[in-house]
Amino acid sequence: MYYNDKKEVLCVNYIGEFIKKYRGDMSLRDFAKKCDISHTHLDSIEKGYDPRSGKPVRVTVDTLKKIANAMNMSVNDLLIQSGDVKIEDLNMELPETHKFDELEILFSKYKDILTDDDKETIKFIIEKRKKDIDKQ
Amino acid sequence: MNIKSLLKNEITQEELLNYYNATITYEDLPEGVNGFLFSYKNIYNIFINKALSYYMKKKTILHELAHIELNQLNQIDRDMFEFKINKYEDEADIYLKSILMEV
Repeated sequence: MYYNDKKEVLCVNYIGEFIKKYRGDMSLRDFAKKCDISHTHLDSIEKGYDPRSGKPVRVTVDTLKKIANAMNMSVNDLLIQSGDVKIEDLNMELPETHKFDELEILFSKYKDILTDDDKETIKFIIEKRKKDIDKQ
Repeated sequence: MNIKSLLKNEITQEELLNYYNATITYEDLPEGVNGFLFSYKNIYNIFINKALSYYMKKKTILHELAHIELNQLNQIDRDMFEFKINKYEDEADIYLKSILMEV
């Protein structure tokens, strides 16, 4: 979110904040390199505006793809998870994994150690538990 | 009723779980995954890797409970807390740490 000098909200930049949060301690330069975009452009995207001109930033689909790729997610996921796009706006079924925030975090947290089989195991455990709850 | 009262031994783990409508299930989870949480029909389901030691199980339960407690914070509390967080996934640990410092 950024403000004008009257502290009025000018724009809610969910995606920029989401990317910044994801980047965490990683430097702008390092993350920009991972995305294969310039660090100045990444900075603008995170802020929602170009710090030099103050104009709102425009992001191409190609850039979104690059960023999503660096975050190991699809462009859809990036838009939905950042809160910029509501899943109902995309007019699609809610994928299983989106139903539990924690699962998304879990899979991304352990992306280096979880095999596809492991992910299936976890999904299976969750489904089993859901069925048990339904029976109650 | 919260994690702080649990750590101060004012309440039992059972009581806190009932309060949050949470259950714990011990499962064979992939190695390296200590536990996770998901909510379904207003029930918080905590899964703990049963291969963990007693101490690690307790620690993981606290971590998952911290996620629940964070979920229940109102927006103002959350905003106050957010500035302490660098990375998404560490928030439960940071939250626990801040509670431990108070206890």
